[in-house]
Amino acid sequence: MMSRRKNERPWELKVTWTLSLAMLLLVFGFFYQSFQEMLQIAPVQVAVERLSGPATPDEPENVEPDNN
Amino acid sequence: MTDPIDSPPPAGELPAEPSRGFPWRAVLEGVAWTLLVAAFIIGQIAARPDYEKMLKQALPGETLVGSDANVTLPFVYRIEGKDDVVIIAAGEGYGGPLVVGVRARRTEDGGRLAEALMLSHKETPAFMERLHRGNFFRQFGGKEVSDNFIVGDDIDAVSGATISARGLTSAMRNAVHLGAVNHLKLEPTWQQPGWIFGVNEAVLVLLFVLAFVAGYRKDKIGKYAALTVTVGALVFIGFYANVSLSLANIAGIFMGYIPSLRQHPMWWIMMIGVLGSIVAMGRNIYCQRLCPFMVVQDLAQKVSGVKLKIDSRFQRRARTLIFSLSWVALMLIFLTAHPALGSYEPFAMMFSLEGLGIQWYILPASILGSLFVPRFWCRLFCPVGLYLNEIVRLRRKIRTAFSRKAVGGN
Repeated sequence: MMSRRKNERPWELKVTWTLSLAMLLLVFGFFYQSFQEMLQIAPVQVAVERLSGPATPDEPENVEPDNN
Repeated sequence: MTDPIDSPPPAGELPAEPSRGFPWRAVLEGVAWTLLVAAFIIGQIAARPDYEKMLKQALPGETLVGSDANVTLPFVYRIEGKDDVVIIAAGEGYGGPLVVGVRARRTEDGGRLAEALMLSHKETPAFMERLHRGNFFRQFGGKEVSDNFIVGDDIDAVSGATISARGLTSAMRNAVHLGAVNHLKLEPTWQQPGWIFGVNEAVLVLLFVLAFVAGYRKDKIGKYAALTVTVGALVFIGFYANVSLSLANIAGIFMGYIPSLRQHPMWWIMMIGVLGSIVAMGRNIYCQRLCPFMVVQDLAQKVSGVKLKIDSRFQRRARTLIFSLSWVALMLIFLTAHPALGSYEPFAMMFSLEGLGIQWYILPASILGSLFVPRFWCRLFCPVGLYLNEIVRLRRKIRTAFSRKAVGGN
């Protein structure tokens, strides 16, 4: 039993390593994505998002959010 | 199954190595801390948005006349040649302040909300997506300035983004009502928001109580409590309220984003419950019982039936890895003053099913990992678990030091 477990360990470790490395790559990908977003957030260009359009009595109301 | 989180936290640093000349580790740690502090300071200075510039950009063709009192929020602007007022005000979201610009217009019977602009927010993108999809923003179209602007009254929240919805609504309310009183000279007829302590808050408190019961009683009652907490964590903390703890919460505290108890009691219940259980009992009750993503991983592991082991050396290396990842994340967060930007956990995405870019891959990868390694994310990647266990360790150290002192004193 003991020897079987010993034999299993490298295999288990390899799978764990592979999964961990894959996840690590994804997390670094997330950081890269966040970094790109950070570069876009220049002081003036912070997202200005219209929640509702101008609602004057003469114009039809436009309340569709526009994600610009 | 032995609860890996229940076991004593991993033994601190990597095995103490004998001194071999230059103390690289200490230097590295020093540099890391210095950079974090520098990033924090830079972020606080550089990430301060120029709201007036943003307003001018958003309202082309309008001449804004600001007040001398526009030093700290709220800011008030008149629009030259028109009977409109634009107010910039903030509310408290889940990740930090939410800032909106609101244009109020005089009408025959008072005033109405003519336009609203979101100028900045610190929310997790998934929450904002949820608000968009839930048509939350539509509710503000054409509202009277004398309306209450209270979630649960004249504004409906969106399930899974309740705190963001409340934060945004409070920002709108602060702005609109200020404009109504100061510029449109209306008498306040609207209601003030009261203490928000309803069913949701009561359920969260109940879950904490049951988690304590489950932790201390090993009889039938303890088992029922544990089962209820497991289901409650997944359904309520996860899918319904979506209030999992994340690195963004921890970083937000450092950055002073602490919401008011009156408006965000859920945040306070969570923090007091989690930190209180550590301080009072030395137990990380959140990771042991209440984390909904832990429940998801346990379910995945039960489905697969596979339990690959992680040896202690690997686990210790993983601990260093989590510290390194959270350092990178904190650098991003501090530089941008935006807690959600560095929060790499898949929680918000899992429970709102909204995500951006690569987040869509982190979630399935973490579930795939937990099909093979029990609590894969908790043990190898979760910064919240690591930091909470660090606080547990700190408490133990302090306690041991005090008991030694007491014994020495006797």
